[in-house]
Amino acid sequence: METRSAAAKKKKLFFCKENEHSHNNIDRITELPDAVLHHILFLLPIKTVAQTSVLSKRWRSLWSSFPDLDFTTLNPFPKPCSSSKSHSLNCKESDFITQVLNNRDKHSDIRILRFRARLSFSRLNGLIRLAIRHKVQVLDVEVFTEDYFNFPRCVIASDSLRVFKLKSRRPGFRLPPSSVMTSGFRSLQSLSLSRISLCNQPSLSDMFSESSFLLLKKLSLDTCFGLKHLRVGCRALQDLTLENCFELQGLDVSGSKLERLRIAKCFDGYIEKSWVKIDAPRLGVVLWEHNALSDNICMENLSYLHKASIGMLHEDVSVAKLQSVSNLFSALSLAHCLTLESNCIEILSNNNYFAVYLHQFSNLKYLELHTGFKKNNVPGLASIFRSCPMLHTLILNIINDFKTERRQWNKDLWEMSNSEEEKYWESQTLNLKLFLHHLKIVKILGFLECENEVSLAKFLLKHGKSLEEMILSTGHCKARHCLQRQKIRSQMMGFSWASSNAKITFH
Amino acid sequence: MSTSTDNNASITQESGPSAAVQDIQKKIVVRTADGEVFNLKEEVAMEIDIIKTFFQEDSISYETVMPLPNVEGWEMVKVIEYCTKHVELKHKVDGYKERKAFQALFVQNLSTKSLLALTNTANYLEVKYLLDFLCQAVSEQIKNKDVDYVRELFGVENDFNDEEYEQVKAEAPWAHENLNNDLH
Repeated sequence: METRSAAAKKKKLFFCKENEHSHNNIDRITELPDAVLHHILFLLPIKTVAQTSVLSKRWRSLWSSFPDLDFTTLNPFPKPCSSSKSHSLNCKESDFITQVLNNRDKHSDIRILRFRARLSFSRLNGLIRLAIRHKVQVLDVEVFTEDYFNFPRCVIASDSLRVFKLKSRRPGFRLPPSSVMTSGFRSLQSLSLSRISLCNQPSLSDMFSESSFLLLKKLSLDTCFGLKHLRVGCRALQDLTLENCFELQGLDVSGSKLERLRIAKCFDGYIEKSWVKIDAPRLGVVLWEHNALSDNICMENLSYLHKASIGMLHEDVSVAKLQSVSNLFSALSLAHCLTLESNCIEILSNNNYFAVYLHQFSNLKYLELHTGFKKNNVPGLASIFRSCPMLHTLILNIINDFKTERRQWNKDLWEMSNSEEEKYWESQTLNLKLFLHHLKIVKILGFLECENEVSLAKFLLKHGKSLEEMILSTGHCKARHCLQRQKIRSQMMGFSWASSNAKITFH
Repeated sequence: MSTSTDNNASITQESGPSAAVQDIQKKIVVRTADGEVFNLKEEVAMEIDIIKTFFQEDSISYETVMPLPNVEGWEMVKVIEYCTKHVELKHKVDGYKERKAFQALFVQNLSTKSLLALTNTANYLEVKYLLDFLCQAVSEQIKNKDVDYVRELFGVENDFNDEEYEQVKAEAPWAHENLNNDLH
């Protein structure tokens, strides 16, 4: 809201008619103020923006004050050292990013600096220092260096830095000790580090504690060599991602504001006594992808959980680790949407006694299962269905590979169809009563008219009272035996259906 | 939205003529540089921040005709057209396709000169979403085009001498490289 005097001034101007006829025909763009021209330039790749600097003196100053420098839109990326012509310039000065930064209007701040480059550490450090001097807010850097390098400490003291992303290609970089890392970063809200060598500090227990990184909302750690123990407890943290930490043995995450957690390809599968402890009651999304199983998973039941995705690294789970699996499922049992990757189905299929005790997913409305749909998966699937009484949408994503043997549905035995699978499903009718009562949408991808999926589809059609839609799609697989498929399809359309509203679609 | 007179009848004392003025004014009147007068629906007028501030700041009566000396008549027509559509689509759940179709038509017959004038007006009138859209439209016109094209399109006069020009070019040689080889 304007002040009274400002508003009054504006009103005075209303009554003075501006001379609009000065630039009669051609140059209408000069009338636009700098901020609007910048607005237009923000939408263009940096090469175009830099080109406009030769248009006129004004445009040159527009370029030198342009706040968003995203060099990743340059394609191809210019070489760091210029050609033989410039013998007077040393390598450092001919580095074009440094050149751009040096040519800038001294008083204009940089908002975003983003680049990907192959360079030495001293050059990297110099560039970053220059950016910090221009009060950069978002610094997003991907580097290819010759050797391991040390974390550029000059960023720590910056008061303007809100977002810092440092991604290194081979080999990687080292972090300073916790006391140094937590001594600054006063305004940092998002930190993303990739490819860190932590062999000299395998235990990061006090770097991301409750009293450090007070404004940090998003943290992402990727590929941390040598990281064995990690504790994250930043007070303001909302989003935590941890991936490719293969040597991790212990993980402790706590945060009252944490809403999203993703842990992928972590944990050392060969270590005994690995553990996970998550204390984040407000978690809404949990993605647990391809992690080796720990011996001890401690996670409170997450009542705000909306979406969860579980993927296990191995199918073969020792009896000792089954409790962890059980704890994990139990913690995620209040989810509304759940995705289970193929190894989960295998684990649940191979351990029948455990499957019996599978926790109820009482809020679950949407379930997506990835499975090879082998014969022995059927009881596992049945037990999952039994645990989802309120399910609305079921998506079955069948992984068709050459390893899995799947019997084709025998169309000739249609009338006398009483395959084992069918008999099994029929035997589960009472167990699956609630599930069948609520199920509305079924989608099967990778549907190749094999016995397993046809039996299931038939069963669901026969008993699904609320069924509205069934979509049977081949997905990415090539359709085979077109004529036979047609016959099977028409047979399927002739099944007895429990729900008169149901509709089948074949893709 | 309404004038300073309180609507709450149980509190105020009705006092003759001034009470009559208190009825809800739904139209706002503006006059553009070429003398044209426009009657705007209140909800559309309030989309234009400069108008909103003018009337709300000092609780000015809607009887006042607001002068807009920096805005041409045809520009006002276009602004009203866009804001009216925006207000209409606000209440629609899935208006994406409709909005896209409308936007395409909106700029279809506009010359670059008019587009730039309209952008300037949108900035002056303070209609953020219209400004965003017009800036996008302008950027589309110069995307992947070389400097000479841009200069011609916008009619920017070169105020560098030859020496200065080469100097500026040398400040970012990477930007002027491969201009003819660009595949995009």
